[in-house]
Amino acid sequence: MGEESKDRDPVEELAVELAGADSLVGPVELFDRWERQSWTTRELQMEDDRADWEQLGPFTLRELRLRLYQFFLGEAAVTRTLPALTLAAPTSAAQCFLATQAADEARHTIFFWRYLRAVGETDGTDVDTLAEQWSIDASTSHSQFFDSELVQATEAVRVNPSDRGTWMAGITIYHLLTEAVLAIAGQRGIVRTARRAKRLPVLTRGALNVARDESRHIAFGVRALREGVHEGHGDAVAGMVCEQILLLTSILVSPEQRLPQLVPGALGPFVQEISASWDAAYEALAKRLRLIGLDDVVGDVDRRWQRGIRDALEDYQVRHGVAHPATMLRPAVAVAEASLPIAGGSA
Amino acid sequence: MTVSPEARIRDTLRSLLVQMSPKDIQSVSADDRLVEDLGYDSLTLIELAVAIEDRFDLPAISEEEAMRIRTVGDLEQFIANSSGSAVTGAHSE
Repeated sequence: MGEESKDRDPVEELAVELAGADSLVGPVELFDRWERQSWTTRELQMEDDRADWEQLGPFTLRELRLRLYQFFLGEAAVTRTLPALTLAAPTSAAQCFLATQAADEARHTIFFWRYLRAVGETDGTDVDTLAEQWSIDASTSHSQFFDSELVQATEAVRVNPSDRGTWMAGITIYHLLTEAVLAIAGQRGIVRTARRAKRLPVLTRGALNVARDESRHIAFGVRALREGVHEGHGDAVAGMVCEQILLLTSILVSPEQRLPQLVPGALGPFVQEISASWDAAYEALAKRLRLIGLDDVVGDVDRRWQRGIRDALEDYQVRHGVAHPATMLRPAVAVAEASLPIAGGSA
Repeated sequence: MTVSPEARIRDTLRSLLVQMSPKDIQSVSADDRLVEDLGYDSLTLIELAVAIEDRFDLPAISEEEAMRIRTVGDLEQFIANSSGSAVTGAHSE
């Protein structure tokens, strides 16, 4: 079970699990880490969470359901799309590491599927049927990102495996945007929600295990992209980041999800927490862009990010007829808007 | 016996308030304050709000209006005043 501590606060533990993501170690070291940190879905007694799950209030239940089904669909999508990146990897060591990652992604898919069954959210539905059922309910931005953008980027690699720029773009959307931005924001959300509810220890443990796996994937991606930028593929990386920001921010804000209006005072701390989580996701992205040598695009990415958050908040207002409660917390959005248009942007 | 829409709202709401209160209570009255008397904290207030909004077809509410809701009676009044749809949208237990 790796370097866990049973007494540590899960949010702190998550930070420890993620600390290895920026270590810039090579694929062989990451392979060794994978062997040391291995875990199984079977060792988690998921049924133990069922009583907790059944006692969740409607708000917490809705929030966790959204996160878990987004994870389940996301993990199923990355399991399908990783092989193209593995086959086109530049070295045997990179291929070996990506093969371990394929096993991780499959384990994550099965973890979320088994967990949802264990707490009674689904019956005996198999993985494919559940993915198909839930795809209907997925948000437009989530579907577009995982079913279209990620598929197109990895399909381009499959069609042209010797093109390094295409592979770098694939690693960007997969390891940087999906893993370092969306997945980590999702893990934080699950761990914080479970902590707030003072329940669901098995889900928390599983989320921490998944986060530990993801820290290795991010480490691989950061190192590969850093090398790619040094080789002259910076435009492919920056282009992919800029193209996807509006979708990323929309997935994070989830404007389809209506927040309760009756208790604005009570909602304050929660809204501050989710607004901070959007900033943390941006910081995670900016930090990796600097690490891989793309310091010069961070300002542009920042403006696009703020614009994406603003658009998603406006989308919320259009859908629900009231302002998103986080709107007032984000005066920087107005500043960012004043600084548009963004040079060289397509968004 | 016919139950008035207002009584149905009141019964449904009070049942929710008892069920979701962090305190072990058997009943509530109009004067009970949600936080001070019934023990609701930030999270349980949010859970209550979602339960109420799911149960009753409420229109958008301004923050000012929402901030004035402090007691069981305030809540009952707000739901009853909200609209005709609030009354017809109430499900009986």
